[in-house]
Amino acid sequence: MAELGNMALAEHSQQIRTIARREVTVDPSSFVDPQGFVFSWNERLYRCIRSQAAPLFRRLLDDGTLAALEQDHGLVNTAVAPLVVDDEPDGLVVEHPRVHPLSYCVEWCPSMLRDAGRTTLELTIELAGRDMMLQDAYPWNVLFSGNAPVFVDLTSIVPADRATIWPAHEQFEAFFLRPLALAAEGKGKVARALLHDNIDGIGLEDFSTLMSASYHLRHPGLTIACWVDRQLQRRGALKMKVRQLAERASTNIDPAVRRRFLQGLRRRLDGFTFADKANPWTHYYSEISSEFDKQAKLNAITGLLESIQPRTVLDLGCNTGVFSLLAARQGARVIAIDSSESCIEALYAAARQDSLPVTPLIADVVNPTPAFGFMGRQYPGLWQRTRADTVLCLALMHHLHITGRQSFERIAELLDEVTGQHLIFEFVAHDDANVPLLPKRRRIDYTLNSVVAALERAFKDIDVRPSDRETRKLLVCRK
Amino acid sequence: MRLFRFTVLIFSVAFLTPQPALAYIDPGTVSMVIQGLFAIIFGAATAWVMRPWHIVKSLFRRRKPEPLPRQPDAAKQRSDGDQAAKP
Repeated sequence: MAELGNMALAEHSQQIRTIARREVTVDPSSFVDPQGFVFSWNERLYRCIRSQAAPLFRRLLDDGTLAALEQDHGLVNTAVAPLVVDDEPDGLVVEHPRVHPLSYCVEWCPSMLRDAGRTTLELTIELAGRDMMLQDAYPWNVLFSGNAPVFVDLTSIVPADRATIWPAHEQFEAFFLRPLALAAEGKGKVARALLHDNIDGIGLEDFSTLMSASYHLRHPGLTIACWVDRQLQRRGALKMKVRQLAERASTNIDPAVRRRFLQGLRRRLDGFTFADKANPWTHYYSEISSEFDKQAKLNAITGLLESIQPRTVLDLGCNTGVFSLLAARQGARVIAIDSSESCIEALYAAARQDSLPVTPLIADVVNPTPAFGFMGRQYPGLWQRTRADTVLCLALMHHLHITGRQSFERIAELLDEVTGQHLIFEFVAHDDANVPLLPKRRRIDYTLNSVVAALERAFKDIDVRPSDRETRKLLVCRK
Repeated sequence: MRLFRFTVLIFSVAFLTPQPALAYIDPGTVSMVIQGLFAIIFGAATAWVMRPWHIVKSLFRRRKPEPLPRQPDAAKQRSDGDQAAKP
């Protein structure tokens, strides 16, 4: 891509290669965009901008606007590609770097959702100063590269609407402000479930129903807005008249008015705080008994990662990310998964503070994010997006087997699916001190040998090493 | 008295009990109303308050002395002449 970055449009037009549409693989989330589509070709990622939008983006590339937005406002890197897709001869093909991993708002902790909203809003404010805007405010337009949000939907950039301050305002409310308000009230899990189930985000009615009476008293505007919405829903003719009046009132929006409105949204976004809810998992590692040799386990994992030197690491059941951060400090790009929102919040804060390439996600290993969206293919399931060179499965197996009721054969099947080369698996014996604390939902009859036998179906070399206590062992597995 | 209590009861049922939103779902109308009101209020404030205020302020702003006209840069003139002479 670097060799394309500085190529003038005039030069590159002489070297354009035409590729057939059937040779490319169109991204499944791309078919809702009327301005273009994202596709893969020869293992690289491109976007074909259709002919009606191509002149705008040629201008934005030529005058350095896109470069400035990339540097200061989180827009994805974009470079002209010497390609043309045969059924879009007048289109413009640009190349983007792949952003890893693919993650969605239903997996983000509240701080991540807020930072994604900030990126969207900052970009919109900057574009408003150039008489342009983002035409939609979907959280699917933002991906996290490590811990940094990147706005990837280039063709969301359009000329500013003359009649409305920001047509995507309702989407911004539904996908960012309402879920964050729920999370600030301690209802983050509810917000994520609603975002998964509602393709248009959290509606005003659902939001109003979920908020407490004291919230309504503190925010009387919400009650009024809900009442107005309810009245308009019942009276279609009145609703059309109100919309026409609102559009007429907004004709030829003054840029200062637009900027003030958007800055008001930013103040609301910045005003959310997420209290650290008391959670038994947040202090798990700090509360490990001093009779156990924590440092030995840390040293063992450090030594293993130093010898393996993985490019990517998946940390299952990461808790507050002690080992995720360790792997990231050794140069790996890490995806860290845990079902506890407060643990993921803590890990996200630590990764941001130390600028480490860790993407923490909220997910239950036993019940991960499924594929969803149109035809169940628009947004792939979690395990399709998070495969890594090395997988850490530490202090997790007893949760999967006892509480999660999964056999070791099934656990090995999952680990086989997500592991590229190495697995570091911590065996927890049934006489471990933590096992009696679990609600027992199945008979416990496993041994070290039976677990090793299950893992041997997928991993050819399994090396057993000590962990931080007698009842635990580190199994270093290689495919 | 009975009529008054009946009216209060009807009012309470009509306006205080949650009612499901019916028919066609169109979530953007309230947003458009908010944006329209914002444009009216702050557009009017910009046109009728902020702009006049800036005009009044400018009347009382001390005028800076006019800068002296710059002498042409002889060195730059020579180099511009050289540039113009190039094919």
